[in-house]
Amino acid sequence: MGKHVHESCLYTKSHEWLLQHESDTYVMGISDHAQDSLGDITYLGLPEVGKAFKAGQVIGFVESVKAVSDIYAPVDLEVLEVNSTLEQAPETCNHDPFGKGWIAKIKVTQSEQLSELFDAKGYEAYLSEEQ
Amino acid sequence: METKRTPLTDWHKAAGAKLVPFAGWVMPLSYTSQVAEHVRTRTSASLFDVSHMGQICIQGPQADVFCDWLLPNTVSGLEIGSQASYHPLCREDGTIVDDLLIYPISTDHYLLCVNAVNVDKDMQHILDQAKIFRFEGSIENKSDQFAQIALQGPKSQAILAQAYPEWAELRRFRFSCADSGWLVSRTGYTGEDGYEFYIPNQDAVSVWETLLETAESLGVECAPAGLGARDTLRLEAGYPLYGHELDDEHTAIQSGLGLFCKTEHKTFLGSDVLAAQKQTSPQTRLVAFKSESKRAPRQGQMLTDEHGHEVGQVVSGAFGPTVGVGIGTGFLSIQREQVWAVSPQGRLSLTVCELPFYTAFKRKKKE
Repeated sequence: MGKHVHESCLYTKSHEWLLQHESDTYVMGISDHAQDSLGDITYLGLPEVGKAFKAGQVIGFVESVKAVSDIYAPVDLEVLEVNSTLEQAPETCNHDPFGKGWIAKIKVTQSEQLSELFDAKGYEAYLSEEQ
Repeated sequence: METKRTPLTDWHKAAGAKLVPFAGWVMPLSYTSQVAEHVRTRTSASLFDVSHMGQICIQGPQADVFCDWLLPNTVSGLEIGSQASYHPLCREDGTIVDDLLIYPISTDHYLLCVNAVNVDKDMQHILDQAKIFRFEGSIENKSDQFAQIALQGPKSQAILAQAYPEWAELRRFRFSCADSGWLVSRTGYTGEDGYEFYIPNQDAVSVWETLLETAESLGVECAPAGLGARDTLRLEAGYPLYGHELDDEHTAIQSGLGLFCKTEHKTFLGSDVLAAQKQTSPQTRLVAFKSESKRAPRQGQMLTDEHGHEVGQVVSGAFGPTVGVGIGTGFLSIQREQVWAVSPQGRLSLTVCELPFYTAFKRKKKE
């Protein structure tokens, strides 16, 4: 079953996506593949606004009916805003992972790290390899 | 070990269910969204394939007397051929081998419905006790001969009244047997009204499809639900699950099943220890708790007091779709009103509360 991969996003091996908002600000979330493997999402542990993280650090977590999974910083970043509607409606991440289910707006502080992420094609290839 | 299939496994596969191994069986975890399956069971109706459940038959003269001694809850007072009851199956020291429903089919024929994971252990325990009791009848594991289907939810009766009207008027915890080898009871494990069908394997697909088609013809929303929804439904309803709230270590009193141990009315295997524990109330006991958000405690997490000292462990934990918050149960060795579940994601504050988290049934208020 092919899972949707948004054309314009960058992706991590741990299934987060990044989409450029303007210059160095990006929106991030978890991919359609991630929400599908997690099953019903029941709680989002959102990162703290204003906090800075290094690439690979845990910035939050997702609880689903099946498991608790960490969300990792795709690159060095600072959290500008979080999607607080997910507190009451975490299932939005299941229904619209690339849209209303966005998790945080971030400032990328080491933009050269972006080149290490997958583009849509690369992520698709990675997903088919993983199966 | 070979993974067992139910007569409905192919049906589940064709319906696109996510199948998982469970207690030696391959069982549907969910068909669509687990939360949606939970909610539908609370608001309309769902069908569950629970054919993995075990069935043990105790037969012979004195089967009634043996079962009354073997089991802590009422057996001898049950109406023969029509009234079931729930029991922990205890050892002499009060610890729990399993929990079960007993169906007195006749005074010399009792059917026990037990957990799949415990069938062999139960058989051994019952055979051992039969020797001690000098019960000379037969004790047989008939699990492979029965399929079991549960129809659960507030619309169950409407569906049954159309599909199988002869069973629809059964009262709660009542059952009826038919010449066809069917046993149908007004029981379940979801906290909703509902029925359970114990039927020969060859009838399973036809019963399953008849119930679904009847619901459809009535315009009643009803679809299959998996073990995932069954688990959150039973947890909200406060029903224990073996391997979580019940285990080989804790007694029936510690696990909160005192109500089902009739120590005041009869002598049975384990009654001395259980009666004494009712008086002294053991230090370590099962408690229920809930969080203030949708974040849930998880099985295996350590529970601490406000100072971070360990006071227990979570045995069940999940987001409760109907109650809307994280809920769980755990054993506390030191009783507290507030505890914290510890995880790599940080502490989760939990308020200890009464069971059940949810009830569809009228209940007497405890004073």
